[in-house]
Amino acid sequence: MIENFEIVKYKCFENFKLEGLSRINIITGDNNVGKTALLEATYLSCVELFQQDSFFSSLYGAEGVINIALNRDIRPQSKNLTNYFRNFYLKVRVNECKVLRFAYQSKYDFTEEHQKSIRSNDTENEFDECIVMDNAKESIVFSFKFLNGLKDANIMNYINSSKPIQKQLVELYSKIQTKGIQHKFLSYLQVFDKNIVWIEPQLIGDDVYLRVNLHNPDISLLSSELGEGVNRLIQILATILTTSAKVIFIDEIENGIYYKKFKDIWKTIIEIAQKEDVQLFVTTHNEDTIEALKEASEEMEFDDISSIELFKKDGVIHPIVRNYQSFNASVDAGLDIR
Amino acid sequence: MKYLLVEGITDVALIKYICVQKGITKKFNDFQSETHRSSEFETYRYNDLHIINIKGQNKLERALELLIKPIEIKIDKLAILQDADNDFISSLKSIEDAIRNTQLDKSKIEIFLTPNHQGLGDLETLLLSTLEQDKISQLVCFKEYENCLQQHIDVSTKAMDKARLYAYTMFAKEGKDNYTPQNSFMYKQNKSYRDTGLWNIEHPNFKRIVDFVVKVFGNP
Repeated sequence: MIENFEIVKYKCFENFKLEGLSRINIITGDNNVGKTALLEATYLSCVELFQQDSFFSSLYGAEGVINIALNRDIRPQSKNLTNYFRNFYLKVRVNECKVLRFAYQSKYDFTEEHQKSIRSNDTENEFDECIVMDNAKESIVFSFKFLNGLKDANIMNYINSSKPIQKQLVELYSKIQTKGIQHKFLSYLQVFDKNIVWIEPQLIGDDVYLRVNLHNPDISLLSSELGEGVNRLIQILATILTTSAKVIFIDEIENGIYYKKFKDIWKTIIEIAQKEDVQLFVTTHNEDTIEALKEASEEMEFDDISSIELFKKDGVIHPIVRNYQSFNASVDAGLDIR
Repeated sequence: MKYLLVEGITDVALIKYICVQKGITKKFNDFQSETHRSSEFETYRYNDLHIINIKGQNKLERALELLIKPIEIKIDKLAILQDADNDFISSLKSIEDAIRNTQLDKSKIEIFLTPNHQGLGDLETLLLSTLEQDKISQLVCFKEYENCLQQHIDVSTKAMDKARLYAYTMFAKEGKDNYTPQNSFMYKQNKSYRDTGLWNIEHPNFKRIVDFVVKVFGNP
């Protein structure tokens, strides 16, 4: 589990430290303060470590980068993606002793000294590193050290803020089938919508879809024909239930979901996160979502929660980290922690 | 962001009243609360101004630790309003201890002890001190009631002042409007708030607390 985290540099963050993280970490803050960027930095710091094979093959093949691109509505394999990551530099420290540095810039920008410093991070310093030629103009410099205890995980999960695409849902449901937990998954889903009777994949032409049978009216629809909320729930629950990674990232969890359902959603997430030993980083700027988390945690007597409110002062982003007691008291007192 | 911690609901009402009178807010209910009354602490917010009712002096350190310490970076001004009670020095020390124990930056913190940050007493002492008690019939009657009561029960000054304040507000307007102390500043009529006329904020005894509120919540 990630207990503390330091971003030396990434986008709007510089020398940014987070301590006192918990199993469920809810990230809040004003618009454009950097909630998603924080999620990205945390995610990238993990995903690239775990995805070294795809990372080595090419930047665009790296799952982390693709997910970030999708989240930012940038088409992978496009010039925009190159532009987005131009002059991109990430340096983070996880759990105090693990360092990751990830830079992406034109190879012509590298000075000799820079190259020397990259090479100095060799195996003597317990760093693995490489320089990947992405194309004639761009290079990636990457140096890293494995996270102890998290090394075996091979998939990281980043759920972006938009409606999930069918292919993702089918892949996730396929994992549910592989684990043989279709009924368990359905029972969790029915907490939110009792009208769902069954879900199964269906081949239509060359594509596979998720088909959902409903009780009343007694009809069968493709999941894409249902609301965004149902699709997001399928994605979130299936991800937590099937992940082999121990860390999951959810951007704007409230999107598409009816606010009155949130307490039950949190209770389910808390239950699964405990059973499956999963840590979550979740962004929101929705008051009902935060209030619902407080209520759900009280009812379940679950106190492994931290809230991280990002606050910008004099152009610098500061984290306001609350432990469970403080989070609970602040929400209860009506303090605005969004 | 500016935060003012008070120990009771009547303090909240007085602060809101001062803010309206001094033009810090436009309306009495500009300070909005989204808290349930059963909450341990209760926040009233207007833009970057916050009044937090901590519901008792003994909750100060807990409020500072749970609510204030995490947001210290956000705080431009923090103020604490409590009663001096019967020991000014001891009341002040207990606030300073709470600040020290929570390792808050003292330089941003203002403290005011009612009635006037000098003498002993509480909010009731302050409010009652602004009244011409021998010219208010219910308080003249209350004096006789007090004399009678003290022949039978040893009532503390604090309890007696609370009862006296209730007598003043509840029987104001000849008992036709039953104001509790916290509702005795302004009342709601036709969706807007009107002054009850029970308190004169220009009374010299209000000056110190008014200056304190203006210093904390007014423009820098």
